[in-house]
Amino acid sequence: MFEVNIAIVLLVSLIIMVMLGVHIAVALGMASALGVYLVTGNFGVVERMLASTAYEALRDYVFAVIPLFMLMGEFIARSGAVTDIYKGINRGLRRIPGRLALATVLGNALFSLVTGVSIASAAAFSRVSYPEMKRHGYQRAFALGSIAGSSCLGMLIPPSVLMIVWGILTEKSIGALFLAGVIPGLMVAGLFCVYILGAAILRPELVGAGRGTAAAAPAASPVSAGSPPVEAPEAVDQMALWTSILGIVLVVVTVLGGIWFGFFTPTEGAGAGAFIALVLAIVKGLRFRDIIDCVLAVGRTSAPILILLVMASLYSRTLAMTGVTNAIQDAFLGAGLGPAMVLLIMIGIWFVLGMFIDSISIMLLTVIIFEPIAVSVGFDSIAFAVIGVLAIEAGLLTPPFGLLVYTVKAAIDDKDISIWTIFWSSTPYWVVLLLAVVLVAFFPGIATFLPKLMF
Amino acid sequence: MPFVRHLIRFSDQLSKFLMVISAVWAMCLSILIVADILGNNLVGHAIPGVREIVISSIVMIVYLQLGYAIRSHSMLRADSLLLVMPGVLRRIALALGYALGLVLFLMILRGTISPSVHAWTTSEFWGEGALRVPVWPTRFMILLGSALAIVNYVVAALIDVLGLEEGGRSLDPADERRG
Repeated sequence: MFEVNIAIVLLVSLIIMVMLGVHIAVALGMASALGVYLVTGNFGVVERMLASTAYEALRDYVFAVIPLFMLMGEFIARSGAVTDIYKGINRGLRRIPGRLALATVLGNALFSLVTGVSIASAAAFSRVSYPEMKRHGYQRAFALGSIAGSSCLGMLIPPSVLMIVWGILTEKSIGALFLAGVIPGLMVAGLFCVYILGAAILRPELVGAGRGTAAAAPAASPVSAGSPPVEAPEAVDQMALWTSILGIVLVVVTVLGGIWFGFFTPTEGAGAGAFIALVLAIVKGLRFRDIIDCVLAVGRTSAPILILLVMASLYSRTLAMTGVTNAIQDAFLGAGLGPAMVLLIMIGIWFVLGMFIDSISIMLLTVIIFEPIAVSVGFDSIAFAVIGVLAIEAGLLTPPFGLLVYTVKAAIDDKDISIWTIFWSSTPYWVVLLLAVVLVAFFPGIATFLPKLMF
Repeated sequence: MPFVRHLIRFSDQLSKFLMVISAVWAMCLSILIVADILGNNLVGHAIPGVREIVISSIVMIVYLQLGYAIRSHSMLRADSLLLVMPGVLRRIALALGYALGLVLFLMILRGTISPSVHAWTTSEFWGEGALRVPVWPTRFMILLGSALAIVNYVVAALIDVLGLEEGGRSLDPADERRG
């Protein structure tokens, strides 16, 4: 029972530290240090192991993908390409009920092809599409729900930072995980659209019916004042729109195409993507100062993630060394739980954790333990990755601390809307995510079909 | 406490400076990678050692950014309980958290000293043939980064726990939330 005692001490101390608000990287590091000390009883070993992990953990070509993909997303987010594309989609959807909300979902799906973090999408679309929906008389809660909900697509559709972290933790091919997210991502986007269409048809007041669209749409851009058709929902600068589309298509084709067809490693793809995005940003008029801002913003957000990965690697080494992984696995399997029950417990834990901490931290804490258990009760490891990302993303929309909802709330700066209103209107979206979890659990082919085709 | 304020200002400027350097460095890596891809496909030969440079760089970049990440409250944490705690308890929890951070990086610092000396005195190299990269810069960056992390945990504790003012910049916990 030696391992079981250490397992309990290690996990309990970890949970206490995380709950007390200790930096998660520090909590992982200190819990591991404690575990190593309990096993070896030698303080020198602890220090040597810490130092060797600090040096070794990130020494792999793959870790560069995280800052590089974030750089790519940041450049594109600030270039204004999102606004152009949103307006373009919007125009394309004329006459369809709830088109502004639909354009938000589709724009998010497209934007998530070039960004790896949901927060970026949530912030960008709160600024771009919320004012538009408000102007057209959409119910504000409905509008914000669609923004918070559809920004989840950022983590599902490649390139996704969550998939990269999952791949690193479980030593799976990142390219394969990216592919696995494609069909579920499109499926979720489709279900979001179905929900919005349904809501718009059944309750037209949600989407501002009764107010003339054309009357409420003055031309926004003076550049195109002469040419666009009068009934256009929003005048679009054609030149800007096509530059943005071309740039994004180029990034997507180069990065994802390059990775999937084997021209690039994920790192090379990310490097090339960041470079093309930089060129796009310059073409779209980003100044030197803005570029430096992007670079610094990525520096601020990527370093904490990489530090977390260092400590997570220490944590996984410790878990293996102290036999904690085996102890937990035996406890799970010994209880004679069926796959459905195991999955239910894991999703429950993710859901609860999602109320308190961010998705990457949740992964670092749980995936190392959960993945082998899931595989041993018969889940496909690729499908399980998609299930995990879906369930963890759902936690970002649920009260009391759903991160995406807070991001949207912070970005719109509207005192009249309470956080609970946004939580309430985001509910259909996380229900859809959980529905997708069930679908992938029963039909793993949804996730594994494309990776099996390519790899 | 003018001395403490000078110390804080100095460590803040150093942290910020290192962060800027490393952020620009990460940017340069993407250019280097593109040059490598182009060289490989157009001219027919890749730039030797890009892989080794990128690997070494990422490790160094992370430790260069560590101090700033701590100081700017960008380190990921669960702050929901902290936000609802009464003042005294929150200070205790914060103090505990910063103390643990300090101890962790002190252990990393102490553990890294001997391998750093070894890497320097024996001119240790690594690499898979294309380019042999010295080990000591990475080890030294870990030393520097951990040392700055320790200082910044002390600074964070001075400001958040003991309530030392920091020239008007508020510490809004909402800023700490990242995903």
